[in-house]
Amino acid sequence: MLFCLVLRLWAVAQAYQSNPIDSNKQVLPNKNLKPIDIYANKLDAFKTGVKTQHIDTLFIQIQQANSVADVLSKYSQIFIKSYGVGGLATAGFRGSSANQTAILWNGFNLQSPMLGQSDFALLPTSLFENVLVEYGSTSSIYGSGAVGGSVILQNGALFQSGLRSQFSYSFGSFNNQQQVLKKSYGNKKTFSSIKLFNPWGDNEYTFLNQGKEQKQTNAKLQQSGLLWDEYLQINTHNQVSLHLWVQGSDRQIPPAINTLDKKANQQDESLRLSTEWKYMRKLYQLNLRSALLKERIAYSDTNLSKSSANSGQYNTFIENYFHPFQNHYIQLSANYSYTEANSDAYSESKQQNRLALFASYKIVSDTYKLSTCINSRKEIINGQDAPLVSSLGFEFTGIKNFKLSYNINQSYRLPTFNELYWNDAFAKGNIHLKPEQGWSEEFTAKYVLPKDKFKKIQSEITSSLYYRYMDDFIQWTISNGYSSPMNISQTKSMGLELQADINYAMKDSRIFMKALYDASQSTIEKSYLSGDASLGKQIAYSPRLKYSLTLGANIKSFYLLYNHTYTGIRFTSSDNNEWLDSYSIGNFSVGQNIKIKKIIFSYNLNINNAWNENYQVIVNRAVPMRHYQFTLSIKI
Amino acid sequence: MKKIILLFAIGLIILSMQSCDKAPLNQPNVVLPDSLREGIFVLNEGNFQSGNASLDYIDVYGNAYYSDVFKVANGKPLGDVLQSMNIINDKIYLVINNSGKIEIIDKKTFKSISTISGLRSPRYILPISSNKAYVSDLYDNSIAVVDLSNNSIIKKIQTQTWTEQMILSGNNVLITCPNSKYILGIDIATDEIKDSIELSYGTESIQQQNDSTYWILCSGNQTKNINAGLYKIIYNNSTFKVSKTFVFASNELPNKLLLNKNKTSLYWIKKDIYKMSVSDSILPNTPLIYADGKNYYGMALDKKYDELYVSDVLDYVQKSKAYRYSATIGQIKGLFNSGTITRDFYFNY
Repeated sequence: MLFCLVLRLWAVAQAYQSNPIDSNKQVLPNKNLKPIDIYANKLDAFKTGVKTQHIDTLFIQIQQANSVADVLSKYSQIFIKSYGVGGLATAGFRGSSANQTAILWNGFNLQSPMLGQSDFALLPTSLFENVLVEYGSTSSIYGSGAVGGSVILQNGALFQSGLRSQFSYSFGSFNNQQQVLKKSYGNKKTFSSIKLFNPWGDNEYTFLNQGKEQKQTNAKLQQSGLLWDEYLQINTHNQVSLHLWVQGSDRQIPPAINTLDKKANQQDESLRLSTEWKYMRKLYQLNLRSALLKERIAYSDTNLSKSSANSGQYNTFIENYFHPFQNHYIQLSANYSYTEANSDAYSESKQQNRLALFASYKIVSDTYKLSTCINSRKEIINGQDAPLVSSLGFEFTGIKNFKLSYNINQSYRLPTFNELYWNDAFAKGNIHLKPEQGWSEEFTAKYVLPKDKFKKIQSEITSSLYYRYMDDFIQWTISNGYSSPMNISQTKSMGLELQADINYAMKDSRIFMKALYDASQSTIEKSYLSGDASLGKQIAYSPRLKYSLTLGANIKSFYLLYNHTYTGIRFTSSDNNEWLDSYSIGNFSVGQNIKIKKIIFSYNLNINNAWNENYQVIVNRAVPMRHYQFTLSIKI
Repeated sequence: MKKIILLFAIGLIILSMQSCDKAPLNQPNVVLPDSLREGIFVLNEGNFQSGNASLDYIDVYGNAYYSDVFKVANGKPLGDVLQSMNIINDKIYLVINNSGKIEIIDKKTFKSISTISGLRSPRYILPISSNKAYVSDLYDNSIAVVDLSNNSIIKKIQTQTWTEQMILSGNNVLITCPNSKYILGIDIATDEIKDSIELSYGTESIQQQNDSTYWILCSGNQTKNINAGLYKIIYNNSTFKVSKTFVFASNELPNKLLLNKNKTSLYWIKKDIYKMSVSDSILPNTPLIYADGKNYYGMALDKKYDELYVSDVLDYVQKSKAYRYSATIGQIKGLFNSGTITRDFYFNY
């Protein structure tokens, strides 16, 4: 099947080749915003053949008052499983589970060691200049968890940018408000940036329950935090940086529809501190980076007394990059981490020591216009071997206007602390769990449309085919009176992703379009249960179809955007007998960045769910109908 | 421009692929049994917080299976987690645990008559007179006393712990408390706790052998290193006495104790299904029915035909399978598909 699709795509691609004009430039829909100086992770160079999507800066700007979950659900191919405004939001790629999605900040994976997943609702968009989405596995570089894909949160150092200040205030439906204050200073040698934010809201929105209007209860949220980045360019060879991200959140958890309000409440606190030293020579670079990642989750409701869970992780990387000859790149690195976690549900505090060695070799052939890269990673956990994983990637630019990439890799996900050590009356962890492991491959063809005579139109199409097979998939099952996780099934995912960008530039305005399409089939292939009706069926909560279309226009300083997202049916039972209907959400954004002397005044209005779609992302979790959000911002 | 048109054309083709994403055609059983004859109710708990609890009905004479009769009759879902049912004064009382309510429906039409609300996490309802009933509760640390004439809660009897199964014994109601070591005895005249007996931890289910003899299954507590146990107790003139004790091995978790019509055999689920004579002096070593990869969850005895109805809930997020076994020799007699997490069966003969 994969082969058939490849052929079909190839035929389409050939048809486009009639009038080639050389172009390899990326389409940047928003020219108004200055590109920032990104000190990309050197590791990026070794992710050959992995599809990466840079979320456009304009999209990030209009979602300033929201979380990264909102950005991803509208402008990427990720399915965000959200419990409602501000509620827990997890990300699934290409039919993968939330535990198979890595989230990277300064190269450190933020997946909770206890839960194995991250709550994207707790990642404020306003903290990041760039959000990158890597589709497909990069376990051979990042290790456990990067199975379905990764989300990378980036900020860069803007040396010589001088003193900058920005203050934004947002308010919207259901009394949602937020203040964001950003200050930065950059000279030749240093760059400092501090960002403070504090969203809060009531979220007592009305929704339809069996045709009747009902008001959401127990949905208040309050958050605050700061991100501080400090860079020092000591000399041409040495750079050091320090990053601190502290955040606290206090959220009420609204009841599921038709259930009693238990007045549930969850508090999430996190402290993330990281430092990095870069030593850069022409043929060699050393990166030494460490992080301390702490988090605390406390939950309570009227039926249960407060329970809390804490974890702390110390993580350090030594990365060596060699560039011995022209077009040859080598990476040799080590990663050590120590994690300690304690929860009311563990019998005692639990520790984990992990040591990983990983290496990469990349050759770029100018003659054949081919890059080839191999990566391997070996990890030892508490003295025990974890799977050795490798990947092989190619990128070929030998056909005019085309970039073809292929990547085949092995991936794994280690059991989480909860899966290993949970121990209470209802559930028990399983210390004999094996890591989930498997392999995947993907083929991506990117076609950049030849430019027209006047260089007005820039367009490109990217299409990817992927296949993933995972064994020993971990699932909690209940038997013999309590719940326990087991390596019970094998899963298979395959699909097609398409992305098209068109940008039509005029004198001082432009029109652009971004279309994303994802058809995915993710099925359970083997199960230990006898007579399991889930075999061969689509995995619960992985939509088979998702697409979005964003149309926009910039007229001088003014912009107007329409985003339409379709999410196909999601089965809620493993035998596919129960499901939630598909939904289409339309969102409008209008705004303007007005420059008066050196001050930029901005406003942005978002009209979300403009067509008043009554839908559910997760069964019985109410989401709001049409709602509004207005942001005012001043930038000096 | 041509290319742009081509791109849009591709876009249109893609959008049209939406038709591939149609939900499967699920033919709901929209017919309701015309009148209630001899039949079996199948109670499907549904998934916690998913609101997909359902009540199914098997017309034994008509040999027909009716799914989700409440929704069909009332045009709305039943609620979140169907825990138990009882027929009182010819009306069906459905205890919807996580919706905190009891739905009262007509026995013939399944139409909703009334709702008892104001409950926290109800588990079972037991009539103690023609106009009074007790409702046990998981989190409320009480027994709610309900006036059946107007379906209101008259008062709550404080118990300090989770209350579960109830049995009427003369002027007393015996109550299991799975989060404690105790069986409580409540005087139905005064609605006050009169007696209690301390057994092993986790008094889970109770069965009555005769006027004064009861069997109680305790599930123990693995984190507290307390083994599960089976107890025979004598309750006479308001005094408890343990007459027999059977202790399970440390990693064993039995539940769902049942007693057959002749009051001769006990049954429980401990991964497999076990049977024991009330006169046995040791616990059985070999099961009556092997689970064989099945995930047994709900079990009930059809006392008329002496058959065990056992549900296999598989992964809990798909439709269960229900098996009929001979209660004497464990031989399989039938199999049918039921709803999500089939918890119990109620025989209306």
